[in-house]
Amino acid sequence: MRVLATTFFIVLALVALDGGLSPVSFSKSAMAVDAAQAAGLDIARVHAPNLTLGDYPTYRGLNSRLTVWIAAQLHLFFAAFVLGVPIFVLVIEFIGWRHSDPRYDRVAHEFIKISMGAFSLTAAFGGLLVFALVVLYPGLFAYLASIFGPIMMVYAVLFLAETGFLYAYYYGWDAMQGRRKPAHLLIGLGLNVAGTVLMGLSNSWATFMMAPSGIDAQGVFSGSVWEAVAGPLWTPLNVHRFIANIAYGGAIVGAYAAYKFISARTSEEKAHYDWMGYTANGIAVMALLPLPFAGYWMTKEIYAYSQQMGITLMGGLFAWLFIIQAVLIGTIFLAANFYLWCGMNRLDGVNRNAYLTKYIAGVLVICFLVWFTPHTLVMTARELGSIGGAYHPVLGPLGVMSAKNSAVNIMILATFLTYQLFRRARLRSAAPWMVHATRLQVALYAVAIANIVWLGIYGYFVPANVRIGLSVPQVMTTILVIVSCVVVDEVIAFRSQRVGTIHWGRMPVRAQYALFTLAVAFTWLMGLMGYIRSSIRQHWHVYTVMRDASADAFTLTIGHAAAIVSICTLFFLVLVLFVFWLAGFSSTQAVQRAPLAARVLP
Amino acid sequence: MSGFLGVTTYAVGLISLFTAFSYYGIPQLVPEPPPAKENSTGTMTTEELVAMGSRIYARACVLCHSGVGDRAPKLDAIGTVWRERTRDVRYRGSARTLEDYLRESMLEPSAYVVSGFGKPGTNDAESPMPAAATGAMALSASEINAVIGYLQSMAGDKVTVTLLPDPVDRAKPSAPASEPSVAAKAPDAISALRKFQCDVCHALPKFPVEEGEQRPGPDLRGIWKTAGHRVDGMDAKGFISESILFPNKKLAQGFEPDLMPNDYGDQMLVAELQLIVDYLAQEH
Repeated sequence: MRVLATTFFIVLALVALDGGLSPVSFSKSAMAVDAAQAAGLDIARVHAPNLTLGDYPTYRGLNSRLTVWIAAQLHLFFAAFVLGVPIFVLVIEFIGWRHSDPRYDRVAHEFIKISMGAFSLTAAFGGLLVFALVVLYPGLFAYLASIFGPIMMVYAVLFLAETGFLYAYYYGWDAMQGRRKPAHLLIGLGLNVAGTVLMGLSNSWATFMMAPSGIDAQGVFSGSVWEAVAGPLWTPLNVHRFIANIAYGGAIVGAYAAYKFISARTSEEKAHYDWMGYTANGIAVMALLPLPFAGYWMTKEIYAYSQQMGITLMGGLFAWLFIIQAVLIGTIFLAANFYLWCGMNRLDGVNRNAYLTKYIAGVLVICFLVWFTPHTLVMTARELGSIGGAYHPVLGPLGVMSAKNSAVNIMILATFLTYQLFRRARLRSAAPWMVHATRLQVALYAVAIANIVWLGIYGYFVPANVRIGLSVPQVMTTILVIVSCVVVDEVIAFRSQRVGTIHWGRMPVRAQYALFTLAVAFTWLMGLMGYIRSSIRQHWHVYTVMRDASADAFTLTIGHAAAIVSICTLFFLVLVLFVFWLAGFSSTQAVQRAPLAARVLP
Repeated sequence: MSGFLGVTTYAVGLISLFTAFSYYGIPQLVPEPPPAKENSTGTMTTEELVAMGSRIYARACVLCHSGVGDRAPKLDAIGTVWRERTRDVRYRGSARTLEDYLRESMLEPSAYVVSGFGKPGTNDAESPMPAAATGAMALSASEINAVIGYLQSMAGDKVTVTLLPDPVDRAKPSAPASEPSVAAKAPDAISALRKFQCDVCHALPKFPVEEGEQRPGPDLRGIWKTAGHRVDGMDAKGFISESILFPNKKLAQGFEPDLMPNDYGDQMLVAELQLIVDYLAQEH
């Protein structure tokens, strides 16, 4: 998988760079030389500078770390959104084109319209981030530029290309219907390729700072820019962000649909935005399901790179942040499932499977509590004495990864089951094989859950390195069930009749708030995980080779960090509401033009 | 408008909830500040050296080498298990003493990997532990020595580390006023031996001794030849160091216990101890 994923990103990057990144071209990079000279570095042998407090300019009392943090976080929020949305827009547009269904085309167009305003804000915060880095962290920026200078230039060119693709894609939407649709889809593909490569290139800077490659122990660059780019964490981060962007894009668009649903005045509008919200929620949930596995892979690679970093991440101070993460992901799972359960009301009559939702809810809550249980507690001596050890005597065993891995896999299966029940509710078939197929699915679920739980229990009796490896068969079990059930469902759907209708728009308002919960929790979660990923370097700009000598090199308390994440989330949501307003403003004009055209036409 | 207000209020409420949980539902631990380099000044007593090692150990080692032993091997019994490990067929190092073994484990962690603690897929041939002198830890020579001293002390073993002041400290004109109020450090071995009046009880190399003169303690002029063979697995420097710090532990034949003061560990600076040990362990 790693080889495939790495190859994918390298091919994308090679296509974009057109093979222009030889070590020679790098060493003559004017930008790198200028940056290095500005920082007083030896051009012939640029090593990681040994900075002192005086190397960090201050500007009118501005807190350098907070400035860069907030600029970077807002840039990443918007970037994730504008990179994620075009991926599923292209897929939806393609489906609409192949099935000649204009609903898909319309909703895809509306999705991309929302991201247009966000695109400008992405660029604005990206610019702010670069200026903040150059002004406030000149030594770090100079060192990074001395290595990644050519990549930065390519990034700028690709950004222009992405802009061109996006404008052509959006503004050419109506003009490129019918026979021109394939060309339009190609432009969309170009937009996604450019966006994905951009993400990969910028990821390489972040992963270089976490797990530097292509340099020696003193930070002296080997000359091979690919070695610096393709570090040990590059591919896992690319995959993780690629999937997360889709989930995040789905969640934000879902919030837009919810907002429009609440504001809608006609039943047609409500039906449209209900369907849009359902589609967006589906995208977010489907992308969410593999996300924990991508996270495991990323963490496993962190451990493989540096066990010290891995243990600091999962067993030290940062471990408490994963309890907050559990709360957020639990919120996301519960909100997504709640929305789906509310969606049962759209169906005619009584859903024969509706009674299962309370059991699914129970399973989700139990799994959430297991995931939420901390393991290694940092306690005072008195607390230690009253508990009787470092771990809680009863709940302590639930805090280890064996239990948590089992819990998250079962949560994923429960969420998938909710989706499956909704899809199957309208299918009717008298064929006896359908009963057998359904029983086969039930048996699959039962065997899979038994296997996941058994592997979890087995994990308590084997060494840690074996225990970590058990997550792979657990994940494979979950994936096997999902894929098998999808295949069986498709066969059943193909041979069955659909009874009743789905009444789009027949959704309670509280269900729309579940979509908002999804968007807010996703945003907060992204901010938190971004903080964890970045701060795991602790007092290093570039881990092990370039120390952070600034006054802000210390690690924050959890509450302090959470407050900054909240500020970023609030700021982002305010700006997103502005983007929603912009999107609504343009549709208002479209509505006003229509009657005028109707009067003019014969 | 009411929809907008409702949505905004809900979002702010939810964010406040997450923030409040992070503040009040999670312990607000204050992380340690970025580690500063701990330098030996050359005027430390053994206890101060061990204390320095303890601080470094708590900062750099204990997260993995905790008392639980699930992330990295426990070190509480290192004083005894090291011998078994160096006899193991998988051992690829060359340590003959505990000090050597600890140093080797810190600088070349893969010289011996305790079973079950190797990198996955290496069959315990490669340690996941980073070398202590490089990377994120990047301990200086004196910091490594201090940690070794602490581990020796923790294992109930003698502290045998030989510590030289860090280069940066050698350049200092004098010790800071805040340092322990001990007498000025002896500049060389002869001065150190005189400072602690070793020559009063022992015949020492290059010290005047009259023919046939008997002193209360053993003659140390030939100790460089015998010290390395007195205790199995202990080299000459280790034996001399132990004999100074714990004089009753291994008595020379014909000498009674408690004749020699046993508080030199408190009186001597580490650098002075090293000067004396080095002096006695070499041929004159």
